[in-house]
Amino acid sequence: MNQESAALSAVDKVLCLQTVDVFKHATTEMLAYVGSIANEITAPSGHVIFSEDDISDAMYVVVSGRARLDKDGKEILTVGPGQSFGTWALLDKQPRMLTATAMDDVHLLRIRSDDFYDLLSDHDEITPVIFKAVIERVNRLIAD
Amino acid sequence: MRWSLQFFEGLFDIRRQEVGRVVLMSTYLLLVIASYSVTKAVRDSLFVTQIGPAQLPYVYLLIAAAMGLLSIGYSRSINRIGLYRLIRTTSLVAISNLLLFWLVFRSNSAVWFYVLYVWGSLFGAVTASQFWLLATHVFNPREARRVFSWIGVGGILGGVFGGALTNQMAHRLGTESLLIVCAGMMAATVVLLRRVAHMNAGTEFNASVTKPGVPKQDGSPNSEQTTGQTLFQQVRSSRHLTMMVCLLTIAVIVEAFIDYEYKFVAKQSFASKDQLTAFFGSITFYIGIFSLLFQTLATNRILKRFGVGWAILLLPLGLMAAFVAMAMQPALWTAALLQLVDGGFSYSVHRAGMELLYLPIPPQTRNAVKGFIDMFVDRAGRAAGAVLLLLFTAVLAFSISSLSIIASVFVAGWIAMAVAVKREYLHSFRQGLEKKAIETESLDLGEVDRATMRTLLLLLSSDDELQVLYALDLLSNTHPNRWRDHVNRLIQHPSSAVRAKTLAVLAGWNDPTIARDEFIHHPDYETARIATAVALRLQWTNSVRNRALLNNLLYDSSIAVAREAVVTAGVIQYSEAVPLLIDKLADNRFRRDARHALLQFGDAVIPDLVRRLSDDAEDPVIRRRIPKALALSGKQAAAIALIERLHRLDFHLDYSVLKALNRIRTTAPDIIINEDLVRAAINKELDEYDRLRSVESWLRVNQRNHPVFSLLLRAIDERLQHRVERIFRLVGLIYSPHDIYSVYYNCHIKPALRPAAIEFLDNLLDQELKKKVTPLLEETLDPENAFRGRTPFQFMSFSAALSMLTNGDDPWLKAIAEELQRQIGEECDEPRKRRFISG
Repeated sequence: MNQESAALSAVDKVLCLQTVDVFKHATTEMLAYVGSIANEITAPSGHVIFSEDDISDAMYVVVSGRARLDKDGKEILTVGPGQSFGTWALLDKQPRMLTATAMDDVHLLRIRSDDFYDLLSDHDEITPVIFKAVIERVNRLIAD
Repeated sequence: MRWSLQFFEGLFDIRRQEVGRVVLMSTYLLLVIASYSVTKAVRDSLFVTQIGPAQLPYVYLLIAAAMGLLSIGYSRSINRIGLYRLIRTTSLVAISNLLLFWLVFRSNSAVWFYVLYVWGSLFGAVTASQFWLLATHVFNPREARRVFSWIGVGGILGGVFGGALTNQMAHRLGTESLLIVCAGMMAATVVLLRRVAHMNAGTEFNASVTKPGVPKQDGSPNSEQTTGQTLFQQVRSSRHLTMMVCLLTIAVIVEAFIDYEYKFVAKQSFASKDQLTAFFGSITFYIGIFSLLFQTLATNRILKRFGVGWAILLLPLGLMAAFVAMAMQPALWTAALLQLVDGGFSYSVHRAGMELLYLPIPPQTRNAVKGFIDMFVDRAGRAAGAVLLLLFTAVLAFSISSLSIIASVFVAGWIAMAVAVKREYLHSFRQGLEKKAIETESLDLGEVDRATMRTLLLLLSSDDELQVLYALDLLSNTHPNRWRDHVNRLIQHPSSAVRAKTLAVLAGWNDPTIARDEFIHHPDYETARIATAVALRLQWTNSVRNRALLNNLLYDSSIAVAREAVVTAGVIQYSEAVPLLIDKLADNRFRRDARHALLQFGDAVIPDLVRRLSDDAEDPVIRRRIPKALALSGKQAAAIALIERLHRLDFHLDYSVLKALNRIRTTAPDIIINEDLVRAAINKELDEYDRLRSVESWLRVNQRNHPVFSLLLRAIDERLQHRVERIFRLVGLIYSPHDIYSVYYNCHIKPALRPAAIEFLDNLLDQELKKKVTPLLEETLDPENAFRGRTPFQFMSFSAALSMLTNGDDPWLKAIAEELQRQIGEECDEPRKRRFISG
């Protein structure tokens, strides 16, 4: 069971978020706004954070610990501190393509998509920087 | 009165708030077209009498080349100086040129006749294009679809007026002197333009058409080439588009034949140039009358009864008949007939039909294809027509009869292509509806034929709720009378979204149906309340009962109901609702409607907005939204309130105020902003910048290996950039915002243009600002040489540096500095390192 906790300061959250690809063009203050809607959760080792085909409703950033991302039982990726997963959920509520499981006791920041859209509505200056990062990512995917 | 306005709205599709703008713009177009008609008659007459019609094909080639050159320079100008200034400049240049031509024609130098011929074509193309571009800024897309046809009537009347004027004045004043009359009419357009700018003070019309300095995709030759290639591929991949391009190419070629034959025969029929000018004028007059009558009496009937196919066939069929007559008897009456058929149908039913052919094409492709046709098809067609004419006249020495037979062959191809395009059109339209590729703004159902309308109305019976909503969206542009039979079924639709949309569309037309009992007492409670909210704006009496009802609806738990109530409060200017409307600025579900409603109050709402903005106890989210609302009002009182509050609010709110001032400055250039207050604000920003730069420099010299420290440095750097942006925003309140934005943009985005941008800024600013702003920009772009030429810094310690931030007014820097102090507090107490940092 994921547990809500609140141990990080606003600055700590920004330090975690500044490595997230989708926020790479955001200013530190914008990251602070994002941090304000990021909830801290902890999950014990082996806990399934989300499963394949679940509806996407949030993205996650690892504060400490590790999580494994699987597809059909096959490991695709392991993410550690400063890394994020489920990022597209912020923009698109499609079913999850992967299953995320805590490999050890993992401390995460969870950013819910609904909260994120509310934030964009109140801070419209964030929208262009998110677009910029997404466009760069799409261009990379096309180039690959 | 209400019924008469409703009748007016129903008959003409023009709403009461649009009448003033429609009259103004129609008059503007009338003058522009009249001026062009007179110039054209003078130009044609002088050319064919002084140079001779045999030279016409060469001048067609010159026009095609000149149009190409002009289109390049034109798009650059429009990005540089903005639409308003461009139109004004064009008009003033046109006036001076017309006067110049009048003077030089006394010398009878041949070259000037060529110059006038080419100039006349460019003048017509540029002024018409600028007018319609202006019109798209004066009217929003929905208004445009309804009123443009009526504004177009102004253009037709301009042709009639210009033709009559030429016919009557050519003998009295002499051909050349008519140019002075044209200059006079153009001068009148400058006055009207000023009035249009004044009416439009709250919009972006006065700004540049595109973001200044931002490179346009079609700005460089490479991108133009790429776009051209992509468009060519798009055209080739669509059968419908390929057919349209072929059809248009043939039409442009035939146009060259018509023009040549008409002028050739006319020249042979008149002895004096003034007689010829008068004849050209009279033909323009009759074309105008014919177009006007046909447009008002027949175009819509033909479109609705016979459809697009016949609409685009009438012109080539008429031309075929005229060319056959010309081949049999090349005389003045057949030449006049040819011109009358061409002009009369081209400006009425044919144009309307051709516009409809674009309907099934997705909007992005449509605009690009129209551009492609203007850029390539039109020029290529003109050039091809000129080359063919040279071949048949200069080389093969064909007679007018033979030329008419050749032209008939082209027209036969035109007719065949029109029949094929007609077949393809409905197929493409059906596909467009299925893919939802047709946009509301692009669909003028007032002009579509029955088959198209039937296809669209079928969607209203779809089982798919989204398809019905889409159809309602498309129908929202047309008067409910055209889909009245469906209203009762739609209002009983099982989907609440469909019911609400139906009411919203009816409300948009102020349709009295909404006040009907079965709507207001609809079994679905939400639908009934939406209907009530809308009905209130149609039947407002300000009674106690009305007010109580509206108050109730404004607080309704349903978003759809409350939103309609907000709109109603704005429309009827319900002052009791103002506090609530301001509250709703904080809610993104209502923000747009609430702001629009507040703006309906005009000056009256400004004091309330300012009071709430200045109130420290007010919800910060509401306060942040108020500056934009004030800016959009476009009022002087709003500008005064904003500038007076600059630097008196918290850091973030202050930025909102500054952005609002920039908006008001860009969209309402007539508004005066107190320059002394702006200069004081620039000085304050510079002080803040220096203070922050001193902290940053000290911290960089005294680096700590700590993530929060690095974060702090990054945040300070961002803030320094932000301060520079604010200073530029302030400078943009004194100087042309476009110029200042261009400098800022070029300095930050295009390193190669930095020296030129800084040089430009140096020449632009007055001495006082130059001393402050130019070095600031230089050091921002070259941080290693920071503080060049400015006062050296103070001695500081780590704690002192941080305390400047923790005691400052920037909440974010304060938060990081406090966190840093907390996390490495003991290090802060180590012996102070005193350093002297010089620039």
